[in-house]
Amino acid sequence: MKRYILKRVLQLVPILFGITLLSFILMNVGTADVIDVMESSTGSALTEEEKQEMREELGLDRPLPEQYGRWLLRALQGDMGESFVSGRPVFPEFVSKLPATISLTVSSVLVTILISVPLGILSAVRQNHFTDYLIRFLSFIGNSLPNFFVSLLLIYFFSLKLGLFPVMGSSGGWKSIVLPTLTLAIAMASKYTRQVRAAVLEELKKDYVTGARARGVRERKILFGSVLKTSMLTIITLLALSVGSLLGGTAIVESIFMWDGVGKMAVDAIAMRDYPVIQAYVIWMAVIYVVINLATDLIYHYLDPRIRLGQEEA
Amino acid sequence: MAGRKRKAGRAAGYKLLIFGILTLCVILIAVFAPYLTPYDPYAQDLSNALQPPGPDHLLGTDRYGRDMLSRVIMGSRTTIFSALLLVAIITLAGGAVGIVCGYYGGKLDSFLMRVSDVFLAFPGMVFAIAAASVLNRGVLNAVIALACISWPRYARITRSQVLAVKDAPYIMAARLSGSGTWKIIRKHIIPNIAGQVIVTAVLDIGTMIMEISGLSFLGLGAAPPTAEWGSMMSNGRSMLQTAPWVILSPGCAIFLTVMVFNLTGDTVRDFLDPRYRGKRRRE
Amino acid sequence: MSQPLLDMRHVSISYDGETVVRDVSLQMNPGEILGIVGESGSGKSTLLRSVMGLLGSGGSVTGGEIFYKGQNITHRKGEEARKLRGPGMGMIFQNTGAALCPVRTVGDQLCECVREHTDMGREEIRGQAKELLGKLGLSDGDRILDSYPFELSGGMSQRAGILMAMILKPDLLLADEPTSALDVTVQKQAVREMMRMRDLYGTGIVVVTHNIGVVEYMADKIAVMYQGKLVEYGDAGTVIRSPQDPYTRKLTDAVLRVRRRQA
Repeated sequence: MKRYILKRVLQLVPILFGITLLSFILMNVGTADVIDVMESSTGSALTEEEKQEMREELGLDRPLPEQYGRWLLRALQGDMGESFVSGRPVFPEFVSKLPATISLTVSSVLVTILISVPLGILSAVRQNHFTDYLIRFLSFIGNSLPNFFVSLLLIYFFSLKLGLFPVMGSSGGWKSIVLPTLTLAIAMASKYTRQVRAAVLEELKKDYVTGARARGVRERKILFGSVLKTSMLTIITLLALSVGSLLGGTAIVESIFMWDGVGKMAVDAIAMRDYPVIQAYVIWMAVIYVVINLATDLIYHYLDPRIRLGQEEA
Repeated sequence: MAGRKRKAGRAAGYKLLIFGILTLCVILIAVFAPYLTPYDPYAQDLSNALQPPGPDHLLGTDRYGRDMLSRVIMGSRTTIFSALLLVAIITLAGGAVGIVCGYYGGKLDSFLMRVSDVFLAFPGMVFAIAAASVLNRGVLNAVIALACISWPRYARITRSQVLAVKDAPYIMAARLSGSGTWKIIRKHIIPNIAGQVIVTAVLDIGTMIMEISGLSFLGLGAAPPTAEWGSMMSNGRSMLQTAPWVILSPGCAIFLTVMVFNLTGDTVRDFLDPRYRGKRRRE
Repeated sequence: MSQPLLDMRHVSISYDGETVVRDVSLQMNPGEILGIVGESGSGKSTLLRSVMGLLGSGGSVTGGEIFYKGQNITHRKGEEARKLRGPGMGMIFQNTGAALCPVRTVGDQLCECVREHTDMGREEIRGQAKELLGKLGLSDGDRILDSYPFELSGGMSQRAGILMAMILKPDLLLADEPTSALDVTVQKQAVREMMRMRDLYGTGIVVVTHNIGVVEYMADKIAVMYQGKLVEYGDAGTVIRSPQDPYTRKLTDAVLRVRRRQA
């Protein structure tokens, strides 16, 4: 197991390297002259000489590989440059907004689990009965609704018509997190319910279920004792994988609800063409995602005795 | 046995026919959009701004007095065409990479797979948001941004499919009888792996419609005044309280279109995938 | 004359409206071993599952009746059916490893099974299990009980399967291709172990297999199935020596040929 962890962590190195390289290329090749952008986003007029000086100061006159090397070295020390707009260092800004995004993500994942695990199991157990059809129908609808539409519908009904929750902002206590959480959870739960259903159905078809029935074990016990235990592995993996789309989805939802997290920070930065901020956002979201996936993989390996014991013996 | 299989196959066939026709209708609306709009979708008429739905304007008007129905019909063009284009690009590009990797293997394969690992390491929309923000505003750029992040998945699927059939006896036989590589790929590999890839592609159209309009909603896709569902909704955000129809019409248009494509995708999967058909029968 | 242990009268079974087993009548007495042979798809396993009441969705007994110790069990459902499985009849599968939940130990699942039917404590169950394994010639019972299914070899997992099926001492043991997944040497051992169960506990055994050698060695009665129908049924010796049906003749010829070659 230890060897496996080490192996997986080492495999992460080229991926992280690729992430930084790709983000660097994206920001430097795709864009026009950074100084020009800076000029237009700060709104100050600069002479050509001043611009040239700034380019030298930032090392922008050097060849790209060298620029990348310097940039990477600084990034490793937590220095990801300064915002074009506010002039403040980007990394501390990102870190300060992260808790808001994390709390939104965690609450959405929790709500998703609460909705889809019971519904997915129910749907599988009652396969091709009315309950199953109803659950599948609802998840189908949820799957076809873009999250920005769901946000606006929720705001319209729950905030404007019923006045139950604040329209936006993160200052309204627990009430302000309800609608953004629901938005993200509806989309995620629709997809996830289907996956849980499929995973449970897959297990229910296995021979050991027939085996347990042949031994006279109660259906309930088969379901909760064995089937869920085995399908939990798949369910956890799928959940972690869907965290990826959740992390991407927070950007839109955060900006609609004015939720002060990294997603809204990135969307605001896009409008201002504040590249260092966007760059920090892209890189760190990818890093977080990769780490979550690694953690899932390790948990999976730990939970499955087939792999755990196999590893120890080897 | 055979009778039952045929019956299940026929039911899936009917379903496919119905959803196929629905999909065709949606696409036809998009194709003939300019002839279907009751008003000019771009003509502003400020005296008629923010009219609620009524006999003159079935879906009301927006804040410039433009007819919502006409804009929704016109918007189907932008949104649906760009989604179809996007899916076509990633299927072809990802498919090509997958075939090359799967068939030739070796260093090129490991290199391209590492590259795709890096792309897959970015969570969903995050990379697309960044790429679209770097490129200039425009639907095509949104398509490019989403294509960048979506091709590796297709490369993966295609590659594993190619690996599964590559050493099948009939391909060995073709090779032994002197068929060239290109001929083997064209005649034997592509027809055998196309099913799975097409199913994935059709199932993705709905998602892609949502992602493209999502980018437009953030102001990273279609530039105004282009009628596009996502940006129409973004423009209506501030009028949610007073003129909800400005949001509801394009929102429902996205919802219904995505649903039609998703239903079609599911049916195509059931129809093409004998495993799914067999499964349903036995359960 | 005592009551027959298992009595099937004109049983027909179909899956989704398609008849898989047609008008089969069989009878066996307590302590007897009945061998059912036939090629795959002949309906022999389906017949076995109908006795267990485990046809699965889509499958049902469409005609005839099944009696277990004089009790009509053809259409029993739910709790009633469950309570019979385990204490009344046990089942051995072709691949015992797959018939056990992969992420739980054998002992854990054994306890679960026993406690569904009795209120024995865990230690007591383990004690009984070790005693039974001892009779199968295994002194190290703890090792099997503490293993996960995937850790057992073919022979070991077949013993675990026998243990699972026999722990509640059922009067009827149903074995579905119990030797097909095993090496030849282990096959012999598994056959002997099942017969030992009959000798010890007087268990009646139905063994379904395509291996006529196994049936010839074990069975008191033989039934031959072909395309869902019973084509031959009678005492083992009679069926082997003078088969009536052309299909049976082909089967027995094969056995005799092998024997002649060995001689």
